[in-house]
Amino acid sequence: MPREIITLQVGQCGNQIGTEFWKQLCLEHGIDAHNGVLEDYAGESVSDRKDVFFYQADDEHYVPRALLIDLEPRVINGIRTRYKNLYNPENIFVSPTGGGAGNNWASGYRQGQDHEEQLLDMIDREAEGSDSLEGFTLCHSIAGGTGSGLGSYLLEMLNDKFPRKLIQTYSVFPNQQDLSDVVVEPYNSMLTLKRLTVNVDSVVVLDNTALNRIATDRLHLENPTFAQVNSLVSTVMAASTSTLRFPGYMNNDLVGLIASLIPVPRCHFLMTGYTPLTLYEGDRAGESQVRKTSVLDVMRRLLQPQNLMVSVPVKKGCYMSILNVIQGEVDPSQVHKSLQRIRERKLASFIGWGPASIQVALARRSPYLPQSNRVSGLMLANHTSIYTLFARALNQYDKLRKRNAFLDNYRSESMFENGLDEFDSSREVVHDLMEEYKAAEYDDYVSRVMGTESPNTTEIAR
Amino acid sequence: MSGMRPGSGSRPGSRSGTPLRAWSTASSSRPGSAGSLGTSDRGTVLLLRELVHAHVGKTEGGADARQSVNTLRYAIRVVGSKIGPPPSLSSTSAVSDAIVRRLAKSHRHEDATRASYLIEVLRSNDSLGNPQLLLQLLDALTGSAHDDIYAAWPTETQKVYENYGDRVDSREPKEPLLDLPSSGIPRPPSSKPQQSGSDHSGRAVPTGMDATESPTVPPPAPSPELLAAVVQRENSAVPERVLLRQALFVLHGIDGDLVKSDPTGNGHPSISSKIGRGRKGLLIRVCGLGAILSRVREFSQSSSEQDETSGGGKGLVVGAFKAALSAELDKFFAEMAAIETQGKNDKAWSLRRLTSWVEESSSRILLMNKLVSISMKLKGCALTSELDRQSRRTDGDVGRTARRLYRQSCRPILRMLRKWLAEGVIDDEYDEFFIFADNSVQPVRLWSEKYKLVPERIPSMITPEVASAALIAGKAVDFLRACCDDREWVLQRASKMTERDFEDNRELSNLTEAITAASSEASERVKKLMFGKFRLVEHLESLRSYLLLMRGDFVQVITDALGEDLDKPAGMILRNNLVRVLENSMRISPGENESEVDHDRLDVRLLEASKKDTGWDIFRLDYRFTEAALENFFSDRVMSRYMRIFAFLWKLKRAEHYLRDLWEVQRSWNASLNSSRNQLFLQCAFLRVKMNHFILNLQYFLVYEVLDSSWKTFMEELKSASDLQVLLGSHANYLNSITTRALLREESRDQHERILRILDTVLDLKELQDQIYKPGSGLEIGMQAGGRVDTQSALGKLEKEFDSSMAGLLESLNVRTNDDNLVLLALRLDFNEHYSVLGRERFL
Repeated sequence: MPREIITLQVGQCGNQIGTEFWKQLCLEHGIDAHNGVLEDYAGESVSDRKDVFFYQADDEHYVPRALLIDLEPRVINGIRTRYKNLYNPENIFVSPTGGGAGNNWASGYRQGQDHEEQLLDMIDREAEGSDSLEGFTLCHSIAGGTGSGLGSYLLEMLNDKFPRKLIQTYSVFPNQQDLSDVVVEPYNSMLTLKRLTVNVDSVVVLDNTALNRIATDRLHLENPTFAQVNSLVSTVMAASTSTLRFPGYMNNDLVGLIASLIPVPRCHFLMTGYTPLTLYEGDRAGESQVRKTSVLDVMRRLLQPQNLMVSVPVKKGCYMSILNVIQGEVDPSQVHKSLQRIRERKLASFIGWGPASIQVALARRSPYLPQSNRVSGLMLANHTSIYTLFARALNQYDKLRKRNAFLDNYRSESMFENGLDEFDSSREVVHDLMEEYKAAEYDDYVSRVMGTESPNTTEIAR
Repeated sequence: MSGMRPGSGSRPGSRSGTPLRAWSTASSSRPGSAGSLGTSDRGTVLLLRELVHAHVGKTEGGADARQSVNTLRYAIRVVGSKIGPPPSLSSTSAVSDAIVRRLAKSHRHEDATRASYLIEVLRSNDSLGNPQLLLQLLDALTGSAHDDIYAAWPTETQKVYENYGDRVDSREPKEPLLDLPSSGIPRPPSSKPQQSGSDHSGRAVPTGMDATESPTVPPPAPSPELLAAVVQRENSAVPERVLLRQALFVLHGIDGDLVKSDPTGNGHPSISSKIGRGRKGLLIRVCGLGAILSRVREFSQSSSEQDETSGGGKGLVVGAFKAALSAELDKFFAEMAAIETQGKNDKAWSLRRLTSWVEESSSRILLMNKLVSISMKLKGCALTSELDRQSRRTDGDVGRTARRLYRQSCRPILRMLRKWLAEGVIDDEYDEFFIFADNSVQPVRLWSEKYKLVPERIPSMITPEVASAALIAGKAVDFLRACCDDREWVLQRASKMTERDFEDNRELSNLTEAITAASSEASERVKKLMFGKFRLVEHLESLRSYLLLMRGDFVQVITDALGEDLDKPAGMILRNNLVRVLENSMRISPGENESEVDHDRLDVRLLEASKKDTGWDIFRLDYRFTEAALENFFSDRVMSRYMRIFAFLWKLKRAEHYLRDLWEVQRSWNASLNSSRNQLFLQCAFLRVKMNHFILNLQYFLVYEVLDSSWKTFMEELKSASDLQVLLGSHANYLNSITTRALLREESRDQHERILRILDTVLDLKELQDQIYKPGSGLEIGMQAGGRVDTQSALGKLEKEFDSSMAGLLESLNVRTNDDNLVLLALRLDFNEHYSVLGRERFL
């Protein structure tokens, strides 16, 4: 009985990274990405679990449990041409008007409402096609209109209709270094962040700033393309699901992975790191200059900021949890030694208010992928410094909001007809979230949060 | 040497206690010397006392009594001393020559001849220990009949003894000077012949040859009447030819009119007084040999099946020995027949030539006689070993005879061995073989229980190692036939191994080679079938996947599917329900590389429930084997070890399952904004973090450091295993390694119990959280109620309990810092030193 996961890819960014993800999964399971047919070289001898992410159609073709959703047809049409027979056509939703969301969160959200029935049908059908649905994964960007607005709508809907199913997102945060041509990004981000905080169990934060930095610095690509940056994301997504697809004793389901990473439900924004990075993009392949990959090397590099897919100052603050998914030929004793070294040298600082450590999951690798490295590693971590992202978002939002700039497009949508309360409520949620993460840096976090409650509890507080 | 017994003629109880008391007095006054003979040597003392009385005379009171006591005390000292023999008498031949010379000097030629013959007999009998010492004693005693007891010894020696007497080595008080079995001491001429067989009674399984040899000693003493007759008629002549015939008759066991070997039945030969003194010596010898020959022949002709009087003398080996003996006797009688013919035809052929032939043959006859004695006590493999040992002690003609007898006796054993190696069958009617078969053992336990090596029966022709190889060889063949359904291969192989192969391989090296070859051939076949036909490795993998829960995805499916059922009290659990769910899970969740067969083997077993148990406590996964071959490998004992490990891992999985439940509820609190600040929720969440961290790390440790590394070692060993026994051993090591490292052994009881206590706190938390909020039954049930504070304090108490169990566990893990394994576990459990800091704070 697989613990199936349904992937929803929403908007331009969501569909792009989603497509890269499926390409990678097909590669790892020996499936032809163009038609879902099992490759000749892929025998039954590999004990993988394709059924977590794929199902088999009547003709034995593997079909991704994916919903492709967008409000304008460009990206999805591209996917349709390229991977003609991979996706189930019934699972593709493009707004009939095709006008997109115009970078307006409120428009995207409203169009979700408009097409609620159709979207819910798709999701229901897919959910019913699963034996034991574990949850949903949503890929999107938080700053645009469709991924953020329609994405937010979908998150609320999933939360409402499937309260017991896990909801995880891969959320791309906007680049904060370049000035975006989309001036309302801070608004969209704030409104989406509220949903990510309230309606989602786990958010994997992918930060365009960091992704671009990695592409240029680590892979030596001067002008990284979308596809190249997206393939970084797909690498991370594939690696983080590898224990689900190539099962072992532990970490065989999403709950198991997430539950150990998230100590308190609200603090569920995870950062990722990956090493060594390689891109398979034909002759334009970029490769980081990592040659030697021992377990210790990999585990040490994963703690270095330059390998993180998020631009946050991890040297400050502390880890609440770390999960390293190590793939390759690994002798468990090396893991042991690496852990000892990392502790001796204090390469990572942890919270003081509870037990925390580097969990290691040894994952099998796909036998179909050429491996230039002996060992590779993915880090999923919950680090308090993630609050700096929220602080930046709040800061930019406040700047815009102070001037009440660019709000007309929002006011024209039903949600904001009667006022901008939703903006304020979102800001409050994100602010609280930031404060929660800040508080978690302190050793007395537990007594702090316990003490802030109603007076009748303080008398028995420790 | 075992404790000495009083001579059969002595009656210690009937005498007055005086001498003994006198000895005790002496002993108390001079503990150093008299103490050298402990009370356990009372027999020796009695014997000595008798000796002293024989020579000094029985006395009552006065100076004689004192002399008697002194003499006895001296004798005890002498016997107890470790001093060596007088150098002048250091070799047997010197002593015997001296005796014979002395007899000759005193014109006792007959006695001289007899003495030299008797000495020969004595020498051929190793059971008597050092014949040289014995001779010395006998010689000394002879002298003492005439002189003062001390005078028999050279004066110098006497001094030495006197000097050393006080310095008896008390460290070895039980070591007498003469290493003699009591029954081996010949009687003085006047006493009655010893009752033969008196010593057999107490010795059921003779291990050494220390029993009496009395039957081999021909009745030595001519009666006084006979001696008188000899004096009277020594000159009346009997024709030599007649004598020769008479002698040959006697050798054949037929009494003549002049010479009768044993007319009275008491072992005394009777020789006509017509025969002159010169020839009488020869005839007495011939009589002796005749008696021995009769005994040997009688033995060789007796049935080897009917002898019920002792443990020995029965069976095929003895039978073969008898046959060989008969052949030897036939040869012997043929030689005699030749002599007889010669004596008839050749007038010059004289008694003297018979003498020389007797000289040549006597040692052979004596050897046979000795071997007969041995074979009356031993049988089977033990007998062949002893025959082998004996044959190695002799050389020349005698040695060759012994060798022949040994080899022939081995034949039945070799036949059994051949059958065993070729067919895996023990054909051992008389219980002679060195491998014992218990035919009542069922095939499913054949390998471990049916056959046993009997160490004391391992024949000397092979070493114990080779015997073990032989055990495995035949066992493997029987295993192939009875458990692997491989009769055809067994038959084919058996037909190739002809009898001759083995009978020619009587030399040790060849035999060893044949056995090891047979063993490795059969073992290879067993391995081939176990790994091929019976898919041993696949089953081991399945056991690892299912019983050791290594297939996490499957385990998760069943804990999810069975969870609700298992939460019920044990009494309400229906096995059929569980089996159905399990089968469902199996159907939906096949490992892609596993065949359906393995899934059929998986089963549910429910233990007997006690009151508080829930379904979790009594649930066990079971894996069934239906092939006898595999049942031999996975015996009940082995499977119960798997069960034990399963029970522990299952407890962990249960805790993990609950923690998942806890988290699923906790994550739903996130949706309600207010709840994030609710103290009860946070208390639960923080406790879950701690527990989760513990379970996660313990599991990681068990999987990678315990199960995985043990498995790797096991797989390596499996590759190089030479036979099934080694395979079984490796498997046992594998399970041992897991049990030890998973802290399931008695010596880790403390840690194990702490772990269990921590697992219990998870169950408690689940219960408490359910009181606060249960999915589907509305939010915050426990919140409004007055029970809120109670719940809070209960949570606080639970946390304290968890913390203290954790602290205790970490402490006990860190105490055993020499164990890398445990240090690692401690490192993981307290990686960020949260508990160490907690501990320090508490301490401050």
